[in-house]
Amino acid sequence: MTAENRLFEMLISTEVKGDLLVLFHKNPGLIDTHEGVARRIGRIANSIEADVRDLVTLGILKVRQIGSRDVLLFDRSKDRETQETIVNHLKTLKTRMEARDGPQ
Amino acid sequence: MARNKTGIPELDEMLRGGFMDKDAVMIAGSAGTGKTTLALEYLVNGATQFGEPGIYLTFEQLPDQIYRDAENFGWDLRKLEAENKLRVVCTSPDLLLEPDGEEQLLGETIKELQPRRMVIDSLNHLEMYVPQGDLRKEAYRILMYIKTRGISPLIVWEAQQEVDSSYSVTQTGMSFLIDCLVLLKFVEIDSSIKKALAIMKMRGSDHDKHLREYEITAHGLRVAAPFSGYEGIITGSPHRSLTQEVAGAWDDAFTRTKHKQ
Repeated sequence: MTAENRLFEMLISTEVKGDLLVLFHKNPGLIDTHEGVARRIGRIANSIEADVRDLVTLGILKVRQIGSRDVLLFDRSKDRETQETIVNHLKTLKTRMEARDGPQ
Repeated sequence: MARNKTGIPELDEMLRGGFMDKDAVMIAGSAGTGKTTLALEYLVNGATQFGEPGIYLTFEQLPDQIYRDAENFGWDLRKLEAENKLRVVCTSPDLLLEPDGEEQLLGETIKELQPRRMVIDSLNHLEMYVPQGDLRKEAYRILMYIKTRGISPLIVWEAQQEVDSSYSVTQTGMSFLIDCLVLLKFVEIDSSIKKALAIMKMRGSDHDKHLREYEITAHGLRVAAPFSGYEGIITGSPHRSLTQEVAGAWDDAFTRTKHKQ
């Protein structure tokens, strides 16, 4: 499996990740605690922890400490990079499929 | 003395050229009076007309909703963000109260954007997280953080407006911290609801003392002529002024006499 494939699969692996990506894409200036972010997508902190970790690993979300609390914020430039990778990956897949099955 | 123009010509005229630079401005009014619209217009005009980038700090309303509402007035906030002229930051008020919270939340954005204007929407949300009696102290700290970075702060304050009574925007003891207070309120005149704007205070500067009607148009806030011939508008019980009543009585008497003849 290519790195692009792994990235793509990780991004679409859970509903929570989808909700988080939509939230931060629509609200790139959001800076909030895990609890605050969870509340804004109608969930509780525990239920988003694993997905937040994945997005932090990918660099799309960053963690910063404010006082005694960890907050999450969106990395706009990393997100742009990731989106470009995904778009290129999808284009490559399409080209491969067309080469195999003919134009769709 | 440097002034920060709002870009709303009639309001700038009332302010004798604009808000005084680095002054703490408060826009107070009840829900639906257009506080957020005025605050956004001040930032958008600053960024697009006067080369003054700005930060909009919101506590409850998500930026997504602010972008959408701004679009209705023809303001493309996303484009301004991409051009590094504006940032909409959304956070929980309690984070701002953490030690070094302002710097952690805003420091990077301030360095990147070099803003000249900043809106805090709203102080009421901050108040919910501050122990009783500490709002003034916390607000002072935050205002000083903003001012010492060369930024002019504008605070939004939602004040309760009760029917037939005046309302105080200084209940929290904030008046000491505020250099300029702009009051927005609903008034009932001749059985219709109108919006009224007044500059209640402007430290160190002359300003228009009239209460003026304003409207929220498709292009933002537009200030009209002063209400004339009425008294008691600020207190919530407007009535025609004595001069107007006398003039009206003369007019009635004259009309009646004319009909009799």
